[in-house]
Amino acid sequence: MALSILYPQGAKSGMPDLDPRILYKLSLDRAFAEVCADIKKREYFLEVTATPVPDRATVEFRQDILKDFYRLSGFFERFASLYAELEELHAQNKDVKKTGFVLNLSGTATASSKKSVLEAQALCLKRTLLCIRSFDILLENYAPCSAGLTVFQKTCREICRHPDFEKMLAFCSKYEYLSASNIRSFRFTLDDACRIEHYELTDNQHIHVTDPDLKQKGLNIFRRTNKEVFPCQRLVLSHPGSAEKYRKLTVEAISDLSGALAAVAKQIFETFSPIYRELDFYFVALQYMRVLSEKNIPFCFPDLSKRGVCIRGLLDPYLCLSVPNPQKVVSNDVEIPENCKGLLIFGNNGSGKTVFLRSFGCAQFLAQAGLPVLAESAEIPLCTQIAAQFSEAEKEFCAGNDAGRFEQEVRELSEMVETLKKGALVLLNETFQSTSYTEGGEALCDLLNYFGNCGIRFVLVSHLHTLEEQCKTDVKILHTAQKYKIV
Amino acid sequence: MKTTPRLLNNRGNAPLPEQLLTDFQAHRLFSAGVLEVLRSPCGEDEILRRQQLFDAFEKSECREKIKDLLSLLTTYRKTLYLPNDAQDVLERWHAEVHIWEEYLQICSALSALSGLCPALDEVARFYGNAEKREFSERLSQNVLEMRELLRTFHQGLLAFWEKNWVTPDNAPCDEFDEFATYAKNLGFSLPAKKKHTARIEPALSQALCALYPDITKQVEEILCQYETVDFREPISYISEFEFFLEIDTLNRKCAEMGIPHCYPKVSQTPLYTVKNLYDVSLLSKNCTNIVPNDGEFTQKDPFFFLTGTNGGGKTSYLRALGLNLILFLSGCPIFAAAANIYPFAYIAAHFPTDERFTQMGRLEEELFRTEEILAQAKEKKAFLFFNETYSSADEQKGFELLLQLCEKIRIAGHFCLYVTHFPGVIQTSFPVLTPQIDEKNNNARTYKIVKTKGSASSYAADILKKYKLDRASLEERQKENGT
Repeated sequence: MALSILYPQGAKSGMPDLDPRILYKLSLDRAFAEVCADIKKREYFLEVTATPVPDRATVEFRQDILKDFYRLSGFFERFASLYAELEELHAQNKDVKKTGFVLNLSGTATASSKKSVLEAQALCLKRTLLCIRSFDILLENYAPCSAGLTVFQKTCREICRHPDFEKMLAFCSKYEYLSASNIRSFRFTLDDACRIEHYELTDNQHIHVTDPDLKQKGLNIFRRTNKEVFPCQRLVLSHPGSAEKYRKLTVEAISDLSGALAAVAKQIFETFSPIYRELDFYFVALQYMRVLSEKNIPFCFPDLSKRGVCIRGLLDPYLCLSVPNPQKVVSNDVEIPENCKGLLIFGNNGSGKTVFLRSFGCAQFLAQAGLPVLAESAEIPLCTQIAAQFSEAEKEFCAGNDAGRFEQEVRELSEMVETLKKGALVLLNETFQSTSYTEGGEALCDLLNYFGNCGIRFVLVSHLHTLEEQCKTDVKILHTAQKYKIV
Repeated sequence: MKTTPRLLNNRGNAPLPEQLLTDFQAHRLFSAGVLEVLRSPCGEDEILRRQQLFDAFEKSECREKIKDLLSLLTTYRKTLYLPNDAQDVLERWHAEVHIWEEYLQICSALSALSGLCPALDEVARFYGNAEKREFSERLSQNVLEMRELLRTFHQGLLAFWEKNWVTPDNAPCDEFDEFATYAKNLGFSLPAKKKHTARIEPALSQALCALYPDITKQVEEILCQYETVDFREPISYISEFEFFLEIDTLNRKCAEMGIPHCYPKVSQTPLYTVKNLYDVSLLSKNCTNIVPNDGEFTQKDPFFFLTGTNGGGKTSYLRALGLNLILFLSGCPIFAAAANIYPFAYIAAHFPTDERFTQMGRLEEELFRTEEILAQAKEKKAFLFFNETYSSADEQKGFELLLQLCEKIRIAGHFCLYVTHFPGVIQTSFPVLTPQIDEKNNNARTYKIVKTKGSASSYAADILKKYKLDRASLEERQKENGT
C-alpha cells in the first residue's frame, strides 16, 4: 500500500462537491502567495487545503507530522532531500523501463543492449534500497513521534533490517557492472512437448565440467587422481540458426531478470513515491509557520474536540501576511455556542464585516487541513461540508447564461441546497442584495431557517436588517463597532 | 486383429455425378466431406444402418459423446504429424509419447460408445476387446516409463564458455529464482517467470542424448516395440463423425424453423411417396417460409409433368424431390413429415446450362445429354429429373423432342419429373402437376404443387394482387393519395 503523510489510511479522502473557487473567495490564495513563491508547491498546498478533511483523526495526523517537522530542526530538509534523490531514481527507473520497452517493441534488442538495461535496473534498485536505508537511519536519529512518520519508519525498517535486504543488495551489485563472462551460464527446462519452457541466467559457480578432450590428449596425467569428474557434453552449434536461437533466448533471459528487478523497484516507488508530492504541502505549511513566527503573528493548532466555536484573537491571513505591519491588523473573537444555528453580522460598508467572514472561513479551512490558524487560541469543530456564497458581479455573457445577478445567486444557492447535509458550514456574504429588501429578506430568512433546521451552520454578512427580527431564534447576531471590531 | 469397424460402409456403387448435387444446390448446404458421402448411394441395408445411427445422434448423450470424441480426434490428427515435423531425436520421442497418450485416450472414448446403437456398439466392442485392452495396458505402462525417462532430459545447465557445454542441473536455483526468493521474503511480489515455447535445437538434443546414453538406449528400446503399430487407425472416424454431426446439425436448424425430418421407409417396390416435403436448399437463400409439398410417384404413375406460372415453385419442387432422394439414398433423414421410397439404382437430372460447349449449340448439347442419361439408366430402376429441357428449341420442335424423350422413358419404365413450359403437355396422357395458390395461407400468397388436368393458364392476376398492383389495389392506392 502506498504510504502517505496526508492521509492515515493512504487513500485520499476529502469533502465532496466543494466549490473550486472557495479559496479565491476567502483570499487564501493571495495570502499564501506572500508565504511561498514556488507556484508549483503553492498550488499543491492550496489543492490540499481546498479539500478539507472531515475527520478529526486525519487532521490530527497532519498536525502531528507538521509539529514534528517544525520541532526537529533540519529534519524536514534532510527528509525532503532524500526524497528528491528517491524521486530522481524513480525518474531514472522510468527511463530504463522505457528503453527496455522500446527495444522490445522495435525488435532491436540484443544481448548487449539488454545487458545495459539489466545493469541500469540493478544499479537503480540498489540505490533505491540504499535510499530506504538512509530514511531508516534519518528517522532513527531524529526520532519523530507522529503516527504518520512512525509508520513510514516502520515500513523502511521492515525492508532494510530484513536479513535478505543485504542479499538483495549483493545481488544487485553483482549485476551492476556486468562483464560478458557474467552472462554465459543458463538453466533450461523443457516441457512435455520438448519445447524450451524456461531459460534463465545461472551463476557460473554452479557449473562444473570436466573436459573429456583433455583426457583424450593425455593431459589427465597432471590431474590429481582424487579430483571429482563432472559429466558434461560439448554443444556444437553447427546447425544453421542455432547460435541465433541461443542469442534470442539469452536476450529473453536477461530481459526476465531485469523485469524482476524492475518489478521490485516499481513496488518500492509505488509505496514511497506519493509522499514526494505531499511534502510540498508540508513545505508551504512550514514556510507559513516560520513567516508567522518571524512576523510575530500569533498562531495555534486549533482544538478540534469541542462542538462549539470559540476563537480568541482571530486574524485574517491575507491582511496579516500582506501588510508590512501585521500587528496593526484588528483581531476579533468568535463564539458560536453548540446549540446556535449561526451568526448574523450587520454593519456599515467598510466596517470589517467581510474581513471577519473571511477570517472565520480561512480559520475553518486551515483547521480542517491540519494547519495552525491565526489566533491566540481556537476551538473549532469540524464540519462535514463547507460552502460559500459571496456576492459577485454578473457572470460572463455567454451561451446558456441568460440569468441576471439575482437568478445567478438563486441558482448557486439551489445547487448548494441540493448538496449540503447536516453538519455543513455555509458562509454567506451579502446574499440577495440585488433584489428588493423585502423580497431578499424573506427569501434569505426562509433559506436560513432551512439551514438551521437541517443542522447546517451558517455565518451571514448582510445589510438586510429585517433579518434581525425574522431570524432571531437560536441565532447569534453581531454588529460592527468602531475600529473594525465585531461585537 | 479384426478390421476396424466403419460407420459408413459402401458397396462400391457408382458415384453420382458431382453436377447432380450442384443442380440440386446441395453444395450450398453441405461441406465437401458430406457431399462426397452423398455422392455414393449406399444400398438398402446400409440405409437402414445409417438411419439407426442418425437416430442415435438425435439423443444428446450420443451427440455430446461424439462431439468430444471428434474434438479429440481432430487434435490427434495434428499430433500425428508431430514426429514428421520433429527437428531432432528428442523432439520426435516426445511426439511419439504424445501420440501414444492421445491414442489411449481415444481408444478409451471409442470403447465407451456402447449402448447407443448397433453400429456404435460394434466400434465399442472393437476398441474394448481383450486384444485391444491388453495392447492399451502395455502402451500406458510404456507411456509412464517414457515420461519418466524423458524427464531426465528436461533440465540442464548450459555453459557458453570457451567451449559450449551441457551438464546435468546441479544449480540450487537460477538467478531469477534466487532474486524472487529475496523479493518474496522482503514482501514484494514478482511477475511469473516468462514461459517460452522455443523448439529445442538439434545440437542440444544430440548433446543431451550423449550425456545420458543409458536413458537414450532404454527410450529407443521402448520405441522399437511400436514401430509397426498403425496409430493412424482412429483418424478415419473423423470424416464419418463429421458427416453424421453435420447432417444432424442441419436437422436441428430445420427443426427450429418448424421443418420436420423423417426416416423414410425403404420400399421394396419402386415408388417415391412423400408427405410435406421441404426444399431445404432454400435455407441457403435465407428463405424461412418454405412451403411443403406432397409427392406420389408410383409404378402406376411414375412420370409427371410439372408446368405452370413462373415463381410458383416448380424448380423448388423438383429440387426438393431430388435433394431428399439423394439424402435418402445415403441413409440420411429427409426433410418431410413421412415418406416411403424405393432405393433407386440411378438418379440423373438435366438442368439448362450455359452454352459452355464450344463444339455444340445448346439444343445439340441437350440432345446429347439426354441420350447419355438414358444410356446410363438403361436396365436400372432410375429416377430422372428434367428441368426445362428442350426449351431452347422453337415450340413445335421442342415439344416433338419432349414427346420422343418421354416415350423412351415410359418404355424404359423409369420414374421421372419433367418441368416444362410447353402447354401441350396437358394434352398428353402423362399426369400433370401444377402450382396453385395455397388458399389456407391467405396472407402469404404461396403455392402448392397439385395434380391437375386443367389449363396451364398463367396466374398473372394473383401475382399482381400479391404485389398490390392489381386494379383494386391500385384504385385504393389512388384514393389514399387523394388523386
